[in-house]
Parts: sequence; structure tokens; C-alpha cells
Amino acid sequence: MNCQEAQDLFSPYLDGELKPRQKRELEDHINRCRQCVEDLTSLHLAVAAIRSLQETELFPPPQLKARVCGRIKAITRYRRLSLYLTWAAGAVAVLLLTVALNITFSQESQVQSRPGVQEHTPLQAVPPHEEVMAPQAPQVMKQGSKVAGDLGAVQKSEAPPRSQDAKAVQEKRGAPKGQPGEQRLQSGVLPVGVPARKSSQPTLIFALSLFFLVLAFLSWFWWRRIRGFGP
Amino acid sequence: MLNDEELVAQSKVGNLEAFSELVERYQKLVYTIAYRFLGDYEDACDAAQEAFVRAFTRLHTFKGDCSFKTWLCHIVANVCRDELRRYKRHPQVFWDDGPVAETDLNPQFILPEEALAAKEDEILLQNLLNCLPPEFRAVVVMRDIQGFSYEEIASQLGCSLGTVKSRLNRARKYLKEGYLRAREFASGAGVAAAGKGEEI
Repeated sequence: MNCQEAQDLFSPYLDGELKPRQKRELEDHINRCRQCVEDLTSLHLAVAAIRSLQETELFPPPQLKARVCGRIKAITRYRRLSLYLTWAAGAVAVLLLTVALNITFSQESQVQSRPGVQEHTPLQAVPPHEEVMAPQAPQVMKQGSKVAGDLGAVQKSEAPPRSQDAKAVQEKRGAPKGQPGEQRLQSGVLPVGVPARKSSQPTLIFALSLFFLVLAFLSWFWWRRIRGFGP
Repeated sequence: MLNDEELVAQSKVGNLEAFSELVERYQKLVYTIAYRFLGDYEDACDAAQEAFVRAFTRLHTFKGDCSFKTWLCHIVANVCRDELRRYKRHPQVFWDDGPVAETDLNPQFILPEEALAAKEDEILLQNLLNCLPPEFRAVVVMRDIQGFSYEEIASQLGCSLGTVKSRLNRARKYLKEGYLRAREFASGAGVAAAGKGEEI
């Protein structure tokens, strides 16, 4: 072993990290080389001086603890808030999703149970009053009660042209003259405006529920990220 | 007085007072280590603060395999290492892991006179540490001040055991040269002062 090789081993030698064979070889060299002994001694002094820094503890500024506690309190607050937000946004998302699905399925089942809807679509141009109000008059009259008769009379007197229009429409379609209201309800004719709601309302609610779902996920992600203590 | 384990257990279930007590107990140690790494009081205060906050946010990962003090020391070392990576303020000579040029080993080339003129050993040694490139300084502080093993240092720094040994060897050689020069400088100044005193 030459001096350069020996000097490369000084540092691990002082840390006790040399293998037994390396240690023996180094010690053999040191016993023969005066210069290496001096170098090893001065390195040992410097390392001991650096290690003595362990014993010197510095005094931190007095505001350190207050700053740490302030940040920790803020983190705890944000964490709690994000947890509440997760639950609230999640609940709203589920609620909206349920409502949207409910509307969608109910509309679909209506459409399926009334296959004649497509056939009657030209009637959608008729205002809703004419669809609902007109058939009521003959029905109520048929029951024969006095009050119904009066109401029928009032309706008749108030809106004779409308019932006439409705009859005309019915005749045009070839519907039986006796009970036009019952026939129309059975055939699944919906008032004007319902088909429009069917397409836009659930979509809007779906979009809203998606928004709340994303909000819930983001707040949950944030809560996970800053988690430290229990909730 | 509660021990560390009890305080940690209470902190984990949300007792802020318990964690505050841990901060009180270890703030000196954390601050001192941060200062040894960074060599600046203000930066050390910021790093100590960051280390405590990081410890707080990761308290759920502390399983008690080592003492809380050791775990905290690892966190401080990580925070300071991240800080050292961003450190560009002090003029430094960066060494690579290859053979060191003669000029790099010569403290005269790197050490400023004022670094050697410190009267107290502690200030002189800190000045010498500050003159080391960040990756070398980190190894010396972790080994000689924090007392980590070579394996722990390698694992924390994400480098091989050979790299740790090599960096430590070269950093210590550099510190030794600087320390010897400072002593000569001090004895020379002492002799000069004594000479001046005689003249007066």
C-alpha cells in the first residue's frame, strides 16, 4: 500500500468502516510512514472539531414555536373544512343524480307505455288549455251532479269556442265523439312543453351533479394531501 | 412529564397541545441542525419551521420503528437538502464525483480570508462548512453532526455507498486543510499582535 492509497482510507478508518484486512494493511503502512501518521492525526483533529459542534445547541428565535403552531392550526382548519366540503358536495351530487335518473326513467316509462305518442305529435301544436280543459266539460256533465252541472255550464259559457275547436280537432283525427277526454288520455297525448322538458331538464341536473362530484373529489384529494391528525 | 411516545400518540388523535410540547422540546435541536446545513440564521429558522410542519402532516406515517427524535432528524435533513438544492446565494465551487483537481483541494483557492479569521472554533468550523459544496456539506453534517450511518446517508441522498465514502473523504480532507490553515493564520496573527505589543 502506498501513501495515496492509505490516505483514501483515512476517513472510513476513523469511522470504523474498514474491513479487517484493509484495516490491518493500513495500520502496517502507518507504522512505517511518518508523513501518513501526521496526516491521519491532523484529519482526526479536524473531524473531532467538527463533531464537537454536536454539543453546541443554538437558541432559535422566540417566534419559531408560535409560527409553527400558527401554521399547524391553519392546516387543521383547512383540513376540517375540506372534509366537510367533501361530504356536503358528495351528498348534493348523489341527490342530484337520483333526481336526474328518476326524471329520466319516469319519462322513458311514460313513452314506452304510450306508443301512440309519436302518432299524435301534430296535436302538440294545440295549446294545453285546449287539451285538458275541453274534455272536462262533457265528463262532468255526464256525472249529473248539480255542482258539476253548474261548473259545466260556467265552463261552457266561458269557453264555448275552445270546446268547439277541440271537437273539431277530434273529428279531424277520427276520434269517437262521445268521450274525447278519456280517449285522448288513454292514447298518451302529453300537453305541449313536456317533450321539451324531457330533453333539457335531466341533462342540466346531470351536469350539476357532475360538478358537485368533481368538487367532492377535489376536496377529498386536498384533505388526503394535508392529512396529519385524525379528523 | 409525558415521554415522546405518549406525546406522539396524543398528537395523532388531534391534540395540538401535545404537538406543541414536542416542538418546544426539539426546536433547539432542529434549529441547530438546520443552521449547520444552511449556515444562515434566517434560512435555518424557515427550514426548522418547515421541518416541524412536515413532521405534523406526516405524523400518520410514523410507526415508532425509531425514536421520534431520529425521525425528526431525518425530516430536517430532507428539508435542508431540498433547500441546499435551491441555494445559489453563496459562491461555491462544485466538485464532481471524479478525480479532484489539485486546485479544488487547495483551501487557498476557495476559502476567503474572513472565513479563517474567526476567533471562535465554532464560527470557524461553520465558515468552513459553508464553503463546502451542498452535496459535500450534507454528507459531513449527516455523518459528523447528526451521526447517521453510511447506509442511512446513502439511502437518504439516493446515492451509492461508494459515493458517500468518496464525498466524505474529500470533504474531510478539505476541512482538515482549512482547519490547519486557520490555526496557522491565528497563530500568525497572534505572533504579529504580540510583536506589535512589544513595539508599543
